[in-house]
Amino acid sequence: MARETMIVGSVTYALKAKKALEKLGIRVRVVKGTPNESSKGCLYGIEYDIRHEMTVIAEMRRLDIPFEHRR
Amino acid sequence: MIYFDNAATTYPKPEGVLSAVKHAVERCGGNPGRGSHALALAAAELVYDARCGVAELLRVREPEHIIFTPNATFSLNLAILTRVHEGSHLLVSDQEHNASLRPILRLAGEGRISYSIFSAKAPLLRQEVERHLRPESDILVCNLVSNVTGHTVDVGELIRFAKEHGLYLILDASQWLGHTEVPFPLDAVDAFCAPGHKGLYGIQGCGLLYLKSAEGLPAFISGGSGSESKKPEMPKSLPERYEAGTLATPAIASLLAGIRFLRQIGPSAIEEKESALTGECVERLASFPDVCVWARSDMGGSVLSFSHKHLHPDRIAEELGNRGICVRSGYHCAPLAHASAGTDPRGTVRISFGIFNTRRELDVFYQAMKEILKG
Repeated sequence: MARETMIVGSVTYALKAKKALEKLGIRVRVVKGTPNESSKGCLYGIEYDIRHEMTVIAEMRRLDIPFEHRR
Repeated sequence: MIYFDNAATTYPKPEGVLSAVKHAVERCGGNPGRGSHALALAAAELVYDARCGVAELLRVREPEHIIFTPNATFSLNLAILTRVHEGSHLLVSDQEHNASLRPILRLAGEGRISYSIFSAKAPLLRQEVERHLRPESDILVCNLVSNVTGHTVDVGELIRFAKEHGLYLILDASQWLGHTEVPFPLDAVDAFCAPGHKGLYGIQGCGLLYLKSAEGLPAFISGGSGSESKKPEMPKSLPERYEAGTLATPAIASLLAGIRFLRQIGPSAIEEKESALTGECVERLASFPDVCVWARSDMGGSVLSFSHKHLHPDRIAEELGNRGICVRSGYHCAPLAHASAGTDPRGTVRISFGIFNTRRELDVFYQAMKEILKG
């Protein structure tokens, strides 16, 4: 199954997203972004099944969590 | 051993708190927010669950606005020092602990701010605070429950007053949280500070701060935050902006277990039990000649103080200690409260109850007091 990673910033945001998505039945893994992927330095993100992409984006917007896809 | 010093720190801790600490050390031993391996993520998840537990307790929506600090003193310093600016005028109650008083006095001593002290015991609190209001007043600092006399301020009235006058409201809930039901969502408070090791029954090493907004506030302590590490400044997002350095995961785990313990019993039941003990203790102490008692006007709450006309508070505390009864004597780090209660220069003996105290212990205390005052 194809997986997508969305970078959300802090581990707190990543866990907030994880808990909210799990309530919707979407399994999520918290991952860490590596510094060379970001001008900001270490960042956390969530990894999920790409089929849930639209739901994940909608949920991030609802929770006001800033996000970007891992390049 | 009889422990009547719960206002300093609650003792003993519930069984669930002890096992939560053990679990945190053994199973969540990584550094929260610093890695992506199993132990680091387990620690991070535990800390996040604790944020949710505190947010639920305070009835606020955003767990990320719960900031973990080393203690309530740190929380109060953070809240005050990030908000004040040159020329600030602070309205400060006369029952403040040194945790908030000293940073204010230091800034005032440096000529950077000014402040006015209002009486938290004034029958008409609103009029009393209003009397000290100036055009430049911008911050209201208030201890909700005096750690000397147990005097309790109406949190709702403070919130309404602060809102009406555009004041930034900083509350010290060190003797309030865990001892009573949170009456309404506290999201109208700008900064709400409390320790984890008192009314929440956690171990020492963790305090909390609910910050309504960090907009426009400078960073406080700078250092590692686990994210945005290439940037020279602390991240803007909460709670990381104010959580530089490694968090005390075992203490935070204990705080969460303490909150779960409180929920099982119910804050109202806790308040009822502690108030009954306080009321009975006040009555018994008042029956001794030459003893003066300071307590909440309805004789409720969990804190009271007393003194004897001839025996020094330190001597009484020592004699009680010799009989295995733990109380605290002195100023209790709240000099203004003594000035307003008239207990300068000797201070008081403080009795403070927790959920594990019993009427039987009060009987033993009463007998001990009889012996001490007779001798």
